[in-house]
Amino acid sequence: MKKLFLLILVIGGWQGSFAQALSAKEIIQKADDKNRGLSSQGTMTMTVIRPDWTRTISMKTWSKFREYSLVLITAPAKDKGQVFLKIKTEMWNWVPSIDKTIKIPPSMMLQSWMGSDFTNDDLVKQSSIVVDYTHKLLGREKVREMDCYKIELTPLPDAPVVWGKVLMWVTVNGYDVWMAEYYDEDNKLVNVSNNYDIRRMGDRDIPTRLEMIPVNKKGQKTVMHIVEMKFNTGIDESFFSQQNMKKIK
Amino acid sequence: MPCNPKQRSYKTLNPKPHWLALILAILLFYSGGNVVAQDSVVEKKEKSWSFNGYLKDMQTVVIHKIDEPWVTDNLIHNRNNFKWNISKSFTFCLQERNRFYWGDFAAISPQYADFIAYDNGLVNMTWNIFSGNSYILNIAIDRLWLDYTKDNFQATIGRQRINWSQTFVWNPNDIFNTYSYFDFDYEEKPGSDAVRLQYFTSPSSRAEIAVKADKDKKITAAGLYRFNKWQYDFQGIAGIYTQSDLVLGLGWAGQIAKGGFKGEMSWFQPLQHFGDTTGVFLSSIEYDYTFRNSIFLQFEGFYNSNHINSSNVLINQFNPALLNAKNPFLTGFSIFSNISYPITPLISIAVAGIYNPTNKMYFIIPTFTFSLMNNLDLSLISQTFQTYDPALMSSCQTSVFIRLKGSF
Repeated sequence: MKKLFLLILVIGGWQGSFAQALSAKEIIQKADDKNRGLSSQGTMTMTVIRPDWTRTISMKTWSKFREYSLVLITAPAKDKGQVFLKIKTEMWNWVPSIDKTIKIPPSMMLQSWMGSDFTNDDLVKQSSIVVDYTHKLLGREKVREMDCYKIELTPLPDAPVVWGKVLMWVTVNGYDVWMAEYYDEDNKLVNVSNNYDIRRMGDRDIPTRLEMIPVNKKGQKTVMHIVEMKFNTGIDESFFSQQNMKKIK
Repeated sequence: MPCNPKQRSYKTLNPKPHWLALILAILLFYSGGNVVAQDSVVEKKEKSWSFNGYLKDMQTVVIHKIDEPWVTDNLIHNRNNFKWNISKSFTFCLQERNRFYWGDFAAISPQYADFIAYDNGLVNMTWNIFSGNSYILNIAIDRLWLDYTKDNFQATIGRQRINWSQTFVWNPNDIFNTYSYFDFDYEEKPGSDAVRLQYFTSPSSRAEIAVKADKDKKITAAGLYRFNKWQYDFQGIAGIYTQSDLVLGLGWAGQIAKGGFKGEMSWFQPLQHFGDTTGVFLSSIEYDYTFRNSIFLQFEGFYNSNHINSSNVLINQFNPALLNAKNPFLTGFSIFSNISYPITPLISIAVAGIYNPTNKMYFIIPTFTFSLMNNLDLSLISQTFQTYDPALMSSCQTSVFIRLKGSF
């Protein structure tokens, strides 16, 4: 009996060390895969909160792998119907009112909507937390009751990334990004993001409320709310086309 | 070129069914049978129609000399966009605008009501319901089309905007519905009565043929091929412009040093005396860059080899009857530059300038926009036209526009 107990302990210990052996990159990869799936489609809103005003934008999104995404703006009224299409590294914006497809240069990607603390890049995910960074496991920490891996992400020299460094806390149980800190190139903390409200979305449980808080600006934050999300619905790559950009609804 | 006198006020709807309306009616009737069959297989039905638009009020003040009487006019402007997804293949779109002008313009310029009622389409769909010395009520339909899509093929018939442009201010490739940069308040820009066939050869390339007829029943017919290579969109166009010119064009959109790099050029060669006349060459090249602090810089150069200069540049830019794809702006070289910056997320300022050394003219256009609420915007725009040519001094003027826009 003692032997058996020892065996279980050894196996348990071995399993534990196996989990420990998961590299920082693998943890981030798991978190990224979970958030993204092979493909996903959903509805979300983004609210920019400032001390004396708020603005809300709503959108429908479709994505496949890292390469393809399509975003349809559904509110506010003046922007409704605009579509953003990303194929690999290129992006287009469809403006239905004037029947114009505008090719978006990379510098425009860094603009934000209504001063949102998320950039366009956060929305269409031009850069990847897996591919564009090197990863280092700094240890484990408890954040808002959740046991998390603390990982440091340093961007590769040519990566299309605005940050100098990113720290991420990824839950040990669910591989959800639970908190993140974004540092500029001078290693100053710029933004903190906190994720909340783990809910069932399609085939998985994910945080559905994401808050991005700029550190130096009191009373400011941007809240992304996932209203609906489905994963691995088998969207074909041909869905992400300029033809469909004009038809999507 | 005089405006069509028949289009003066008190027009009502033409009761005669027109070919366009007839074809629309037939197609709608035909596709109607499909709706039921389609619906029964769709598990989760999206709303099949959409309606949106806006209501704007714009006050205009025109100042020639600061101490001379200012001319003022007010425009109440409502736009309604209706779209109906009839079935998986068929879509119907109707967009119309209702404008009520009141102020000095109608009294000062006897032709003003004609300007407003001008419609370059084969079918007149722009009517002055009533007009007087101080007011004009106008209703205009500028989109009315039916679209059929099957796999990679798309056909659109009716009044639609066919936009082949790439650059921002001047568009040599936009041969179907020319517009003026100065007419900023017409955000949707005019449409044309056309049949358009598109075939999408890949996710980022397509071939297209479009044929339009204008109000003089002149045909413009052209083909476009657009493809994506080396991270650039390239396009080539070829066709006949208003039955009078052969038109060939090229355009591109790509990037240099992360900024947008776009261009368009077109060559118009008269069909009559094809061999012994010189054509018209138009070309525009644009570069824009957005800095991390959200400062947006934009430059565009334009060349117009046309020799016919308009006598009153500014009025022509606002008179849709005088705009044409072959001569969209002043002759010679023009340079446009623009800088914009969001001072706060809700308030942004921009200053644009246009300089044309050939005609000794320049324009300064500052813009201020303020987001008051999610769907309510306030804009303050000014357009100053100046010249250092003594012969043109009298046409120097500044227009100031204050606009409130509520979208729904």
